[in-house]
Amino acid sequence: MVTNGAYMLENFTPNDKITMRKNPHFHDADNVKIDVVNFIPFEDRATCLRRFEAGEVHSCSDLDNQQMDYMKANLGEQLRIAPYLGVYYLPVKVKKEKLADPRVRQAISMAIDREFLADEIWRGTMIPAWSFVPPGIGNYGENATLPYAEDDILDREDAAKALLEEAGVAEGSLSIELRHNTGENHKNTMTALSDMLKNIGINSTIVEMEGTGYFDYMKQDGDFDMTRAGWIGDYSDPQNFLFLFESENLGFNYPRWENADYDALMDKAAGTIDIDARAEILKEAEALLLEEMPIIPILYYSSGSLVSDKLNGWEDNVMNVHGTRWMSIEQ
Amino acid sequence: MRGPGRAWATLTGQAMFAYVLRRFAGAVPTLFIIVTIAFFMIRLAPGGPFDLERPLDPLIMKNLERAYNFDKPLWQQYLIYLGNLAQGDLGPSFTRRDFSVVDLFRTGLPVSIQLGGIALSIALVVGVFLGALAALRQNTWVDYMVVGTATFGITIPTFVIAPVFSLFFGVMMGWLPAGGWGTWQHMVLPIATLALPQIAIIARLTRGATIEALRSNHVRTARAYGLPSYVVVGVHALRAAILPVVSYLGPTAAALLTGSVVVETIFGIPGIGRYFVQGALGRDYTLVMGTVVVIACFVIVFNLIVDVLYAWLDPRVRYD
Repeated sequence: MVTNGAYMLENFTPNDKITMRKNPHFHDADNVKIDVVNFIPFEDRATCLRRFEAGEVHSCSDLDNQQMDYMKANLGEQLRIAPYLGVYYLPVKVKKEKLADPRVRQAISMAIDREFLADEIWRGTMIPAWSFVPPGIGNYGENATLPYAEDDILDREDAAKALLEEAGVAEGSLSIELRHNTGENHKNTMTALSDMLKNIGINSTIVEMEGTGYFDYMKQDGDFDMTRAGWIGDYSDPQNFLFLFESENLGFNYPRWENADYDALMDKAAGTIDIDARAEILKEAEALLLEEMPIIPILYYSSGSLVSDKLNGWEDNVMNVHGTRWMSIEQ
Repeated sequence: MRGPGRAWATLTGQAMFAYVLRRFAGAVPTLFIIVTIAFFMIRLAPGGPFDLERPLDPLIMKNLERAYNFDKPLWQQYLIYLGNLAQGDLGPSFTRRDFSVVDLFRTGLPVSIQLGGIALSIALVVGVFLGALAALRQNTWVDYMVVGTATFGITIPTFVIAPVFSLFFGVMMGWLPAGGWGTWQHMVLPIATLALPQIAIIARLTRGATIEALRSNHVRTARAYGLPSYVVVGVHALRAAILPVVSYLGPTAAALLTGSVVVETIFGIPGIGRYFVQGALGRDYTLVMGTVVVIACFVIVFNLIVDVLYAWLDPRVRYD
């Protein structure tokens, strides 16, 4: 196979390994420290963990979530959980009268204990989210974040109750439906959410749907109150997240939220070449999105890897891309 | 008493040769029926190899279907497949685009045969020895030990033994690799995992059959002739006692030599055991068909070997 990359394919045995050898003709070959890289496929994540512990592999690109507690207790810094370019959020149908007031949506967001969801429901495989665009995108800088990100959950519940009162929603008078697609973690997330909403006097019921029809149902403006959805970025740029809620994006704007200011900001950003100025405009758009809250961001996705102490040069990043040409092995 | 050696001598002649030939001729239609049923059965399963979460562009789909003859009626595809099969061509793999099915078996089969062959030999030698020992020391502590361990060995499934071995010897003790393939050290744990339940089964079979054989007329006659007890047991009793083991070995050998899904997955071994499951789940039609053909051949060949061995061991069996 002809390549100008840092490595050449030497051997490929199915179910065994792909062996790559350093390319001597690579322009920066002098700085490529690892001569041979073996990529080993694992059908079973637990097998990779065992071989990692036995010192036979230097890195596993995926984790066995059932053994998260064990790995946390025993592997220390070798267990890497890094923010990934994805967000788990709750679309709210803003057209419904009971959910039309942004204050109601904001109150719901305040009452959600994101740390509990991330640590207990998702066993630390998700990270609490206080913005829609995941952090760590190079051309975006600091995110726009929810103002109550640092507040204690009890204080937030009080603030949420006050906000509901201000919006004229009496305790116990609001009932909403939480809808999710089949999946153990989605179900548990919704059950926990239901409890959290009860704390601020909102009643809820949970409806489960089969996966295949679920996203189509949301796309077709289905009659829901609140659902769950996830978005994994195609590339590392805030626009790739924020464009979902432009008024015209009927395929992904599940809440059917229409905001002329938001659309104008997105248009303006599209026509701005200066990258910092563009980032500022997009940040303004995100701030508006978080203020209006047609969607409630609750968790960021994360990438999990095992990285041996002996493997240097592994840098966590939102794209979860790790080139061996930048790495080295300590003997 | 007729000596077994003489019986064999009469059988090695024409009758024997004709018998084997007849069996091989019979294997062809058997294989044909298996291939036919498998071919149409896998096509009945919903979905196809190119159905992905994100649907393919219809034009690309059409091209793919044309390239793999999927646009033709099923009976034509079947005839094409049979034609290729007759020339030893099992077709391209649908899910592993860089390899043909023959490529996959060429690299994977030797691994599985090596692993299964060694495990089978060890199981046979150790199992028969333990079983005979238990039978000779019936109702002593030796017998109880063997029977107890064997029962225990049969009840623990490989998907428990394999990770426990890997964890204990690989991770905790660090004596052997926890998984992978390449050196003899890599083979120890998977072979032990494969052999243990077989040792247990073979020991139990041998024990039961030996106890029965020791009470049989020809052994009593041998004893009466005053033959030394090692000859009585080793030659006369064991020869009869091994019969059920031999018939058990036919299908077992075919199964062991064509790889174990569990052992290969847990130890990360590049054999062919996983292809059946991976092929079926991925609707990799040719890979499933290839596995069916290979396993069917093994079963047919080993059943034949068993039948021939049977006649050699038991002169009452005739090739009619």
